[in-house]
Amino acid sequence: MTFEYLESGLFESLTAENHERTSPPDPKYNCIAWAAGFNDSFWWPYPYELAPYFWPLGPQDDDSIDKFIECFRYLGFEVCEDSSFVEGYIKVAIYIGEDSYPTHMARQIHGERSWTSKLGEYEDIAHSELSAMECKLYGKVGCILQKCVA
Amino acid sequence: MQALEKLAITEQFLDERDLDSSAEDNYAESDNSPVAREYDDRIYLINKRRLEAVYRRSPTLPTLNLNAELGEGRELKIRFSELYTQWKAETAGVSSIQKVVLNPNYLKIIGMGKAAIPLILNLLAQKPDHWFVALSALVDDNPTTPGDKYDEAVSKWLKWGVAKGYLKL
Repeated sequence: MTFEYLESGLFESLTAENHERTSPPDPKYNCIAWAAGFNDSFWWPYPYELAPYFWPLGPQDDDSIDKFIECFRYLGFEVCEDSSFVEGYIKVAIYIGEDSYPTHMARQIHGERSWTSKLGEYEDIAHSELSAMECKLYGKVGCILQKCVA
Repeated sequence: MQALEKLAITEQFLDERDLDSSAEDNYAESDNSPVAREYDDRIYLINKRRLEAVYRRSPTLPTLNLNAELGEGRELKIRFSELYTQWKAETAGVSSIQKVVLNPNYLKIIGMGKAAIPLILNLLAQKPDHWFVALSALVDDNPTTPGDKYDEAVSKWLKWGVAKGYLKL
């Protein structure tokens, strides 16, 4: 079976072996909300209050990586060294494009070594490595944060 | 609009060899299918361009007010459909709302003005999408409240559209 996100050609690093589809397509939430654990809202730093767009810290003048780090610190995360699995912690990864601005986020699945990503308005997937989401559209991982959940 | 189609396919104006037979090859059986609609739109635009050329070349034919005679509404729908398709193609997989709503095709839809409002609302009713920025820009209004979830925002905009007469449900 093939899916639109695979046929789109946008995600060059995804292969049949390195990921698994875990939801149907849904435009109602995006990868940032999903990384924070929500599937009913669309998170992105935006200069105005305009539903359904949401940012926990309110309207923001820019959408630089600093804003994302600030937001996830507010949610209890702290910047960490690497993406390795640590018992009792959950990690999130911020991907950045060539301009160093955020493009995507992935979250480590609780209690597992693999990660989960929401692909724009497409599906959620589980992927074994962060590199599976590296592509022209999303760039590469720019920052890892972790939060103690023990 | 019908006058255009009759005129444009009349041998008086068209050489049979100019007809786009590839479009006919793709013709779908159902008149309501997207392919059939696309076929209709292609034929419409091809015929319009040819008719315009005929009028430009002819020293005897009067000046033609195409928008008045041929139906501006159809042109608008075709333009909207082209921009929408291109916008979706260029923003698929994108998470940044800034990148989604600053895409040139999205901005061109906003540039179509209030005529785009019913087209947007009809599409929003069929397939929820990121029309919130365009709608709030076009109508200088916002029926949603901060914190509304996606479904709530869609529902409020559709109710607003019905109340304002832009949308019939």
